[in-house]
Amino acid sequence: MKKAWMSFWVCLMIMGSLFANGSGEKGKTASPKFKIAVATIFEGENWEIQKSYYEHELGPTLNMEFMFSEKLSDANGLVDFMEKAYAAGCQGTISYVTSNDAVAQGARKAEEWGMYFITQNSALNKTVAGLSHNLGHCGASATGMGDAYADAFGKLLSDGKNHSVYIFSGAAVGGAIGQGAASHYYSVYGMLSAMQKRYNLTYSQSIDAIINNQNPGEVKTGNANVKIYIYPGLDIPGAIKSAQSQFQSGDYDIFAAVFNYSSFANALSGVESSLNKDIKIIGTASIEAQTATGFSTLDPTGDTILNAAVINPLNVANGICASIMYNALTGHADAMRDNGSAVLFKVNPWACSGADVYKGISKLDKSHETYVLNSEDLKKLLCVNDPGVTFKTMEKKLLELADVNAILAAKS
Amino acid sequence: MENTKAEFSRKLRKFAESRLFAQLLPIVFLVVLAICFSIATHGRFSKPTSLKIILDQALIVGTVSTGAAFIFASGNVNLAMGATSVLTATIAGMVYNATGSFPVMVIVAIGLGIALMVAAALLSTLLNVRVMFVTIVMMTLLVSVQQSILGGSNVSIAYELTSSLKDAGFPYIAFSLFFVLSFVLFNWTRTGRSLKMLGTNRVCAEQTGISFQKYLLQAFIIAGVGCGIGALLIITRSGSIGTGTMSSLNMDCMLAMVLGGMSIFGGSRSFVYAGIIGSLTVCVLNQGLLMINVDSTLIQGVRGVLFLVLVCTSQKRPKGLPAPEG
Repeated sequence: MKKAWMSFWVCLMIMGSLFANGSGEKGKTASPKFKIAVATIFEGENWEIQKSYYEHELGPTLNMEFMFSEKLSDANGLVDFMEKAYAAGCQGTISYVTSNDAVAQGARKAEEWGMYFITQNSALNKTVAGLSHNLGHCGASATGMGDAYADAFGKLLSDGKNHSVYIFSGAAVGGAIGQGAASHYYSVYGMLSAMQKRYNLTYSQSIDAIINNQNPGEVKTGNANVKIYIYPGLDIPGAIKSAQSQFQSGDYDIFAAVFNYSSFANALSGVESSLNKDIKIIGTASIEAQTATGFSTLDPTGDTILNAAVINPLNVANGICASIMYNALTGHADAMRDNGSAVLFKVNPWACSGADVYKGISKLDKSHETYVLNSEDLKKLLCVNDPGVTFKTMEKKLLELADVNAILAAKS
Repeated sequence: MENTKAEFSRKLRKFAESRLFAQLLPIVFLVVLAICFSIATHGRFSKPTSLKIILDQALIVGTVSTGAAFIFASGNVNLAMGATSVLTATIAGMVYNATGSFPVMVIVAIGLGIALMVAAALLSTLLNVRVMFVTIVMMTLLVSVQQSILGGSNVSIAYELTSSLKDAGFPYIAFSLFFVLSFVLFNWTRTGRSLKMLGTNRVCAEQTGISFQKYLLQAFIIAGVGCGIGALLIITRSGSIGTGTMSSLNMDCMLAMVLGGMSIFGGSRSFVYAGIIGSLTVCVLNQGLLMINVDSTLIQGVRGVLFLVLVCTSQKRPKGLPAPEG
């Protein structure tokens, strides 16, 4: 009996504190705020940085309050969350769930309820592009990512030595371009082109054919001193085993992954230790402590763990998505669409060729002064301030933000 | 005065330990929660749209856990309900894409659900291994089978089918039919009574002529029907099935059953409606907490704490009969 009463009081205390802390009554201002649902696939430090930008920069600037989901993974989770958000009075959804099914179902649900919907996706889902509440997609530009890889990778090759490389990507998953792995395709394309240009290689097949080969293995380069091993995709039966033996051999001195470097850092340290050989790593990253650690921590051979990276400026997509959403909610949805069709907005990742460059980049996105898109920048993207703003204004702004050096100069 | 107080305290303790209290507590908790959230959200929570969304979200877990109640009642735990439902949904979806026939999809879903559950029951009874261990293996196996079938892709069902099923109220009809069938079987037939007796004390039940194997098989068949219908509801709701679809279904079912008042020991304190009541409670909690702007990461913690608190409050082994161990 005592246990039951204790449990009852615990329940009561939990609920009481939640009701007290919940902002059911809070946030009532003269002009009601727009309530936006944010369906995320992230968690951890990376997400906390983005959440902080939503809450401290986007919210006050765009008169918005945000309802964040738990970490979601599929269409079902997205629709579940959107339903809750709709019931809670949300007028729009910014979704990070990017599978074709999730985008299609989310857009249809949003249309049914009259909610605006925008996803952070790198490919346009044409099946729902005509829906009037679909504001399109904003994600890393596949070709921009390829350019960034070519740039950062090219700098690793520029020391005058011959290099052999192990390229690890998801480029051949699902048939590459247009099927979810376009950014991987272009990244590998960029690196193979950089190798070809640097060492004047003669590949036995076209670069396209090399990338779309689902079997991992050595690429014939026509130069015995320059070796390229390629692992073209995950989820391919038998491929992982084959790739692992090559990985352990250490017959390469650059490991280029179109994934976050941290997934491979420990395994590569093991290879470096056992062979007493320095292997340089290039991978994707974002502005966070983990990347700083990679550029500052030394591997067993005394070199930094991470040597070059392609940095995805996450808050750029967040700022653009929220601005588009604001324009739609203030009656300018048509201006954000191209002849009634949803638009694909492309964010260009930044090439980071080493620790010194990252030192500068790492100062961005920390506060109002250093946000790549802060309130002053955002206000210029709003139709209420400038009736001439259209989707083309957004595209132009994104193109400007491709130049990280210009951003660093402006924010310093 | 002292006597009156002691008498009141004794009556209160007796009521708290009664079957009626165990039956009422989850319902009262659900209603109180709903009222609190309605007040906190100035009525937005109790709007018809909001309530419909809660009901829609609760149906899949409610259906699967209603079937699972039969297994729980016998004092066993099935950990493969979620994997069975999702694999069934995957294959039924593929069958629909191949044949374009809804009736064929329904038959495949229910048939496969029953077949997988019967396989688990037979493995348990023939090999004389506890249900929980067999279903842990089954869960791993079924997830692997689904991954092998799907690889990195999804099974997508035509939007026209899923939207017309929703418009026709298929999820409500399917759940209602299954719930009525389960209610009748659980409360008014020998099957339900025998399962509860087995859950209360298997040794005593077997000594009165109740066959554990026979009724366990029946429980798994009914649970299989639940998994099959659950699979159809997953298809209708999601429109696509991938390796991550409803991955927490099994845990959601367990949580729903306990929140709904089902005794984790089975027996006479088992209720067939525990699944749907618990499932509604979870959905009410999720939606209500989000509506009062509680951070999503905190919601998971709150769910966990409430789950523990309710288990502590309501789960108590009856003292009347000796435990199965002795």
